[in-house]
Amino acid sequence: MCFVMRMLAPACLLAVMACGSKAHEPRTHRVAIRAMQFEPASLDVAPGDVVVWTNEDIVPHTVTAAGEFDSQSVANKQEWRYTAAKAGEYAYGCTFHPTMKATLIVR
Amino acid sequence: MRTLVAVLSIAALMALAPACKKTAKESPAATAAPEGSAATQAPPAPAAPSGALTDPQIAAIVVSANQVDIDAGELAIKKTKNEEVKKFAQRMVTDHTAVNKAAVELVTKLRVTPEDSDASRGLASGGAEARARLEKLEGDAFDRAYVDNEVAYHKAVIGVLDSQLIPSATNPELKSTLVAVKPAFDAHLQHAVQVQEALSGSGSAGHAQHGM
Repeated sequence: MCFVMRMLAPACLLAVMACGSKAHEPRTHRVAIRAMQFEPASLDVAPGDVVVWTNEDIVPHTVTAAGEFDSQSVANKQEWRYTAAKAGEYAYGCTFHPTMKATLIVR
Repeated sequence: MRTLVAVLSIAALMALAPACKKTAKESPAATAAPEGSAATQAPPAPAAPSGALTDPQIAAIVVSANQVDIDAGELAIKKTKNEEVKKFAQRMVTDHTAVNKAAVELVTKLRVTPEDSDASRGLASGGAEARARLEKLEGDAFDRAYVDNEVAYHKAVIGVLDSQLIPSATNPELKSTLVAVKPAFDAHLQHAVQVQEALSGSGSAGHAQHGM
């Protein structure tokens, strides 16, 4: 048993390290702005991840969380990228169209 | 066709008419189709039904409908002192200009020449007449009239989109463009209702915040 554990321990350690490093590898997430909505309306990301919003509507939009991030005007077929920095739950929306609301959760 | 002309003409007239009596809160979802419209008629067929609008006529109606709201917005930007009303009007000008640009690009690509009809002519003349009436109003009376009529206008146009324009469009790209722009009209209606409620609640929506 001890022999088995001694043999497995390094492998387990490597696996844990591999998992750990993968968790911190930044991922890219996509949000479509379509039919006057953010899709998905709620998105979970990790600190360091990149979120790309693409405006598929004819009219311009913004991606804005007061005091946190603001894309300014994003025209039709244009993208805006944001790197999630700190953990938190951010309600955001389009300043042009007050009915458009969504949430970005960083954890 | 006569019903459509009537609805669109009323929409254009209401978009700018000095109506400040109506302050009742209205749900956009509950009022998407104006009374008397054929919003519940059969779903779109592949070919235009007999007597339906043609694609060139639909194109002209779309351009006219947007232009009426652009003109109203430009007038409001010039006249209002209320920040919320001004922001709303600027949004109408920007968005409806974008929709018109997309519509013109599409019909150019499809080689469809917009063709005036009684409906598009009714919109244009109704908008011009109503604009002349709105020009005479000032201050809060102007703000309320402009916003009240933006609510009525968007309700009417949404009803016409649902009951006439989308079902009648035969070109798939034209039809999908009409479907794609409808949510913008829905959002405009909800936005207009918010501003209307702020105006009727406090007498000044200029202090209202969007919170974003």
